[in-house]
Amino acid sequence: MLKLCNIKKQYPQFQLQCSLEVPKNCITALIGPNGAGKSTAFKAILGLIHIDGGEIELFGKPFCALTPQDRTRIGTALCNSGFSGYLKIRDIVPILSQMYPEFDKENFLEKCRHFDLSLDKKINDFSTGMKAKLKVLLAMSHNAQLLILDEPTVGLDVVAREEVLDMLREYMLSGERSILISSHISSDLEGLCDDVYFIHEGQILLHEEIGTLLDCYGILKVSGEQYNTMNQTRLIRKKKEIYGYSLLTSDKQFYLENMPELTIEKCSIDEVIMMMTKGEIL
Amino acid sequence: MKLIINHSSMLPIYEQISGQIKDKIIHGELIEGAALPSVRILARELRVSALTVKKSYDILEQEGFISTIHGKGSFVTSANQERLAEEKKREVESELEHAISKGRSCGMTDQEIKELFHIIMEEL
Amino acid sequence: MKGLLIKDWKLLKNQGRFFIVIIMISILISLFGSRTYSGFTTSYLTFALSMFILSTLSYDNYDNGMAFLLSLPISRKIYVKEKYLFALFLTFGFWLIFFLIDLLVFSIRYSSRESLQILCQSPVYLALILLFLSYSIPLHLKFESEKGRMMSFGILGLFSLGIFCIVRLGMLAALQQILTESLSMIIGASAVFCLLSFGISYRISVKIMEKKEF
Repeated sequence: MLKLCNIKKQYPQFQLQCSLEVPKNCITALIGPNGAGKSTAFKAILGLIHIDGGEIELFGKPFCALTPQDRTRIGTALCNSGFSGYLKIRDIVPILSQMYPEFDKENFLEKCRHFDLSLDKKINDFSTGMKAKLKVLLAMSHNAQLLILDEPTVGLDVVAREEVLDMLREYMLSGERSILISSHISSDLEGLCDDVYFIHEGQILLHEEIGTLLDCYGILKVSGEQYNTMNQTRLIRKKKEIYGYSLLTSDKQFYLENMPELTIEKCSIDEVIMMMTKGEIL
Repeated sequence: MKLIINHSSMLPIYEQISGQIKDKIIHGELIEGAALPSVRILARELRVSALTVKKSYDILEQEGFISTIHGKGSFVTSANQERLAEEKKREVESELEHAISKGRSCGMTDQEIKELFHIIMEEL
Repeated sequence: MKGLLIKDWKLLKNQGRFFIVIIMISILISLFGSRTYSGFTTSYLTFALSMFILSTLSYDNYDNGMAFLLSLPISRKIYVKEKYLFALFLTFGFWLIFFLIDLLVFSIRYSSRESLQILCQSPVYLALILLFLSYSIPLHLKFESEKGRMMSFGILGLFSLGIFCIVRLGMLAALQQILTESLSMIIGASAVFCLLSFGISYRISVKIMEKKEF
């Protein structure tokens, strides 16, 4: 559905260089710390910036060959940009009807009612959570095949977040759809995404299926002596701790079977990010 | 489908899913020909990745418990008594492995474990 | 593009009350104002209202809104096209409203000959406003709203300075003579010049937008 082949973007203090792919019927997550390049990658996909190298392919077509018609198949929600705050939902509906032939007005208005989004209030007067929900609803309102969501759950409380995530799961039930989502809140992604790209300082450091990440990756907590005597072949990162080291492994099964005396834990995406960012490369 | 996933368990999620579905088939909760929910629907219910569900369905298909018809979905295949028995044997095997490794790890010798095994067998 | 037009229209509707007040003022000035000011005032008001086009650009840029707008299924060219079209509609539309108001009021107040004299100035102001927009819109697109606005007015100031110099240097009489001699030709040339600059401005704006990154 979407392919980034070795795209490059040079800024004075930063360079983005990455490749990623969002297959059909897949929810792909792009995670990383602030300033890692997530927004830059999204901007490149949406044509907001020009790339210095590499190719972007959407729906099987090269980026420059995309027609406005093709672009109606994309639904976007950006975390720091949206419709002018001086507009109301009632104002936006006719705008979207004109721009997107498949805009489903009844469904959209129904969803707005469901989430208590007043049709006659200026968007500026919405709370952060309501603005976030509105952005996601807008992205999903016109039968888009590809959703590009930049931090869609930021500013939402736990209940609202789960509602939005469930909306996304429901969205995936019909048709051939894909989602590219970036988020800081990793726990959301664990219950939603199919695969994960971890980006740091403009480079993709990790790409795994979420199943592999949760099932095979693990954190080992070892003392100094244990570290020196153990098999280090399946370790990816090492971090100094008070008790010794915490280690990130991509094959915790190996250690579970061969060194069961070690403290081995499942790891969450958050912990993987921490270790990949702060840990020493092995 | 009523499946319970333990996210804190060391057992991979796809194994938990396939294991629980297998159990249901073996114990007759899922009868022959019963339709399994689609991958995405189950993924949504369990709040896990669709690829994980697909993996467990693939395993079940490989082991002959279900068959997938493209475009229609996945269905429970006819009960194969031999296979069910094999499955039960496998369960016993893994439980014995678990017990033996536990014994070893708390310092019992192989001789002691064997003796204990015979004692219990006679008692039962 | 229709969607964009609807958006800008809705944004301006928010200022609807302001427009009505302006129209009311215009009517009052036409009815009761002194003769020397009649034509100029309404033209000035048209100018003020055409500035709203620039304000839609500000609305779009406000709070990083452009990023989202450009992610919609429109090309940058369409975005610029819509702005220019909207500019034409708005400017011409308001100019026409004020022109008709003036026509009605002056025909009541003054003799038809005097009315005609005053009203002849109106198309000139329309042309000047289009000229102003021709260089303001690209400036606003290239630079941020604040800077763009300052630069537009800066150029207007320079223009005024130019006229001031002409008057000071005593060239006004010469200018007036040229005007009266070949009036129709000058009118024709000016009209073409204004339309041309609007067109060139459009091209420049498209280039600016296509290069810009958000």
